[in-house]
Amino acid sequence: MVGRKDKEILTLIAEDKEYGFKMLVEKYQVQVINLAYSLSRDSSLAEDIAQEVFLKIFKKIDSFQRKSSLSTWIYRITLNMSYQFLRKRKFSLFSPKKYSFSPEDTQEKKEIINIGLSRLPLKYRIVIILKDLQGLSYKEIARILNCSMGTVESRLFRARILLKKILTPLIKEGL
Amino acid sequence: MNCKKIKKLIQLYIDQEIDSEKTQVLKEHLKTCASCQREVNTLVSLKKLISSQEKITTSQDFIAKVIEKIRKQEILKMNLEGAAKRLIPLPLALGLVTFIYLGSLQIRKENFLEEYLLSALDEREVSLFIDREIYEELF
Ligand SMILES: [Zn+2]
Repeated sequence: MVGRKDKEILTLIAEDKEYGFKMLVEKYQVQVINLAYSLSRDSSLAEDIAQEVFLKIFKKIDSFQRKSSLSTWIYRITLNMSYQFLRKRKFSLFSPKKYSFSPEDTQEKKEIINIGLSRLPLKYRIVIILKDLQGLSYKEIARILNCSMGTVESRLFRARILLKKILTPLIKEGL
Repeated sequence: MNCKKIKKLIQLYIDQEIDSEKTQVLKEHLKTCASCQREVNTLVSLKKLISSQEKITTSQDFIAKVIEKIRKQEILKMNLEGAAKRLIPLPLALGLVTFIYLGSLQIRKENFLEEYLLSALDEREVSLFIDREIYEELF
């Protein structure tokens, strides 16, 4: 994370909302857009989602209770917003695509992982994304998903087993 | 410790959530177990590939765009409130609000059914449906 401390940002917002808000966007925009991107795999949609996320933050920041940390709150809003956008597009999620690969180079491997992730049920995909892509700790993930660390641990465990199962037929030679 | 329990430690290890005591147990086990060694390799490469997924950045004028949207919405809100005060008498306004509210309930009900039917079609959709409850408490 770059930029100012959350506490400082919240103080700035209380003093000068627009200026403080700009600091907040500066600090969190990369995380927000990449979380939206990893769920949608569509860069222009991810930008739209990110804009709506910050719009929502601007509207709700005055009533932000500080029960959770600012970053937890922002992650939650981003997950929610991504989910709402993806629901609108749910028909496109259904379209079955055929892929054929000779998984030789890394680029293709990454592509296969992508497909594997997209086939993972959302509740498993989210923990993988938060852990492996966003690099969050079990504790942070538990706060965002409002569950225990034990649940995060077991869900990740299950997610990786599922992902391996999905990937095995895609990658014959093993990872 | 058996391999099943070790697999949980392997996960804690690759997620950097393991303490030194458990690390020791894991190391000892890995010295003699080829199957768990393979598991470590698989999970490490899986994690590496996932974490090296392409990252994107926001557009250059991202903040400006967001601020512009906020301004537009604020102006719209002010105009609406002003217009409502000037033009609509209170009983009528209340009736209108109720009408709009009931209308939105109806729409929600229809969405709900549609979602339910769609969710029955695909496992992914079912899980989308369930997860919603976890996130919705926020709004
Ligand atoms: Zn073993």
